Amino acid sequence: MSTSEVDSGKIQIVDANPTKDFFITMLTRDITLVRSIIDLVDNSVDAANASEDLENKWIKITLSDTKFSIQDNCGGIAEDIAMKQAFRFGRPSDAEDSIHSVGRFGVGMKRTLFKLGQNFVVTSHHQESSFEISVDVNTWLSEPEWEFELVELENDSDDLGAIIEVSNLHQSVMEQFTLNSFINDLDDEIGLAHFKGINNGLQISINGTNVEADNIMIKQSEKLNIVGIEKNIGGVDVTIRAGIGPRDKHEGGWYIVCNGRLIAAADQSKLTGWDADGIQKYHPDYAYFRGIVDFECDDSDKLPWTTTKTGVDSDNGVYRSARTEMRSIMRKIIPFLKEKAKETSDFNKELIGEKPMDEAIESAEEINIFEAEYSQNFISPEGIQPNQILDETTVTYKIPTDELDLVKEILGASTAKEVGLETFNYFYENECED
Amino acid sequence: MSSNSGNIINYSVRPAKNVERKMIRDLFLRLRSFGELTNFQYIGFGAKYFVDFVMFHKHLHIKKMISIEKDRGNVERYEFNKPFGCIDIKNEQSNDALSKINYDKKVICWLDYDGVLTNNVLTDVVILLENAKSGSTISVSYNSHPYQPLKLKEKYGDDLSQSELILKELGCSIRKEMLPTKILEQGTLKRHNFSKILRSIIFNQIDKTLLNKNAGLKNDEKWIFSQIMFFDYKDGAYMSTIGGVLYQKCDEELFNNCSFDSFDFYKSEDESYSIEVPNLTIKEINRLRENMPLTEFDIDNQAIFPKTIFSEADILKFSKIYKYFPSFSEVESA
Repeated sequence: MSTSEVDSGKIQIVDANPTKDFFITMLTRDITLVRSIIDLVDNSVDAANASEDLENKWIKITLSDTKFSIQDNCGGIAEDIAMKQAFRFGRPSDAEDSIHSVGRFGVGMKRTLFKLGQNFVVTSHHQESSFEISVDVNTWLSEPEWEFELVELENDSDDLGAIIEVSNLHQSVMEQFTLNSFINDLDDEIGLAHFKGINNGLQISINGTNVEADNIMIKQSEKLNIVGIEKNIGGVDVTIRAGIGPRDKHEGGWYIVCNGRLIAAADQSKLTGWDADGIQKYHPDYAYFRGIVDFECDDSDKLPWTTTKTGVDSDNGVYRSARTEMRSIMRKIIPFLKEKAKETSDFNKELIGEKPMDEAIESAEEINIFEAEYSQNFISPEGIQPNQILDETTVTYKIPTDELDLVKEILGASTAKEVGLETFNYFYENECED
Repeated sequence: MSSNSGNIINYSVRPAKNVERKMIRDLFLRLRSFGELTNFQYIGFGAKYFVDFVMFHKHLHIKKMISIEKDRGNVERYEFNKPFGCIDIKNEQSNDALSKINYDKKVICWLDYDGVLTNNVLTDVVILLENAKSGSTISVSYNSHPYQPLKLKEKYGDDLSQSELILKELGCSIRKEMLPTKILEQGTLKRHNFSKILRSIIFNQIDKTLLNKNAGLKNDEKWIFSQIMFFDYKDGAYMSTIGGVLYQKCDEELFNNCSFDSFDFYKSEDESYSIEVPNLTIKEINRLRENMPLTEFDIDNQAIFPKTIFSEADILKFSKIYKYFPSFSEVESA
């Protein structure tokens, strides 16, 4: 290349601005439809929590093949929050702390709206002001500016709250909204994610049907208790409770809650301490195990959740310290469950005549884990040791079949067992006995 | 802990262990800086002889004592042999027993395993690190006999190097993540070098556990494990003991006040203190003892230590441990 044609030193600008299309595609891809709807519920719950009384608060979700809406009486969105944060992509670093919130990363609402359909309208009645934002996504995509128009409304509504409506639903969304199984999934997931809020009086409904809290039940009696501790770790209040629940292979494990929002359910992996440092892999014998960890902090940045709120950020320091405590609690309960499994097997082999551990579990009252009292030590019944005299041991081993057959023939034995016994006795008599 | 070693030999007549036990007692006495020793709890493997329990009850005045005994077959015999009423025998595997113990009191713990270093030992250490209060001590003893290369070759084949063979064998009883990534190619058959490898495994586990435990804590709440002892000794099999104090940063001054470093057997790094008990008669011991502490001049003094009777090595070995030298004599009772 001839250098004479190059205007050396000239600076050209490469356009690296993201296209809106790319951004929206990336944004909406990494979350499931159910989860994205729960993001909107999270916002409503945050608003409800701000008023501190969940008793008369409701969130109504309506979905059909033409329209989606979520309406609440939880207080609405303040106009300045809407102007500066709520509709901004990503949370500005100088944003005011929304105290004790679940919404955090500044992507939730927008991500959901773009994921659902072509047109959306957000209407809010807040005690200070009311407004409406109406967007036609196709038009918005064709404009270079990253802006939405906010129309102020007369602030006369008695019912403070927000309404979000999405119409012109995307094809795939429309299809799923008509599926009964989708509604059931959504119901289950909301019941699980917000079981604490629902327990505290918040009403959430889907197409007119109330969502029931999916409570974590635990067994409590004089013979069986719940282990728990409260600790402040790096400014985060951590409460850990664990004990024996109803036997269910899929529901056993740890439940992680951040500011009232369940972010991991029935975790049975290394993430929550299983299969590490001497604690065994989760196993059907441990199907009785229930543990719940509550992280509470006004500064929700400190909490160990991922942006989709579907998982635990295992690098989070507070979480790693808490996991040390979780391990310590698991270790108190796991020996009981191992003994319990042995009790069942001993009983089935008729080595013992009673099952005190099993009876203690069966007769204990089943209560919501949040209503249970807890203490530092695990109280559980002792198992019975079988009165077995251990002076006999079973030996099994493999040998070539042709060799076995030869010995069989020479001995005149008819079974392999007989061969084993005879050859052992032969060795013992000739080489061991004095 | 296991009934087996208890059947083979009475713990109290292992001379090196006897010396070690008394050195450990003197280290533990320094824990007063963290609080009255009577308010600590002792956790150990008392077996049938409870030698350590007797010593720590008499000298440290500890009243809450827990002996872990995995042998469920002879419960009554262990109970019968308890020297004091304050000993509580937990008839369980150590992992389970340690998980359930109440850690309200600071712990003085010496887990004297008669076997080799295994995951079980590491898990016991983890459980104590997870639960014990600031100012507790954790110590473990284990068999540290170096491997025999021919046996390893027979097991794993000729094509592996010595370091690969050793790592493979260690991997049979220890979780892979705790093994050192690299060990020396030569010299690992020497007992002190092999003992260093085992020490590094224990510290890999300690470091990992505390890193996680400390991750979310404020600076002055953070936990530290400071090694105070690392013994290598032999009464038949090669054994090693590693022990240290677990405390929080805010208690660092209390730890410093213990002045463990005033003992010549205090070891905080990967160099061990080797306990060697020379084989001497009572008459020889008396002559040596009369001339302690040793001066350089005395070693070569033929009138005191005739070379035909006292080797220089024995004189030096004795001078290192004379305050702790065991005195055994046969007692016959009718």
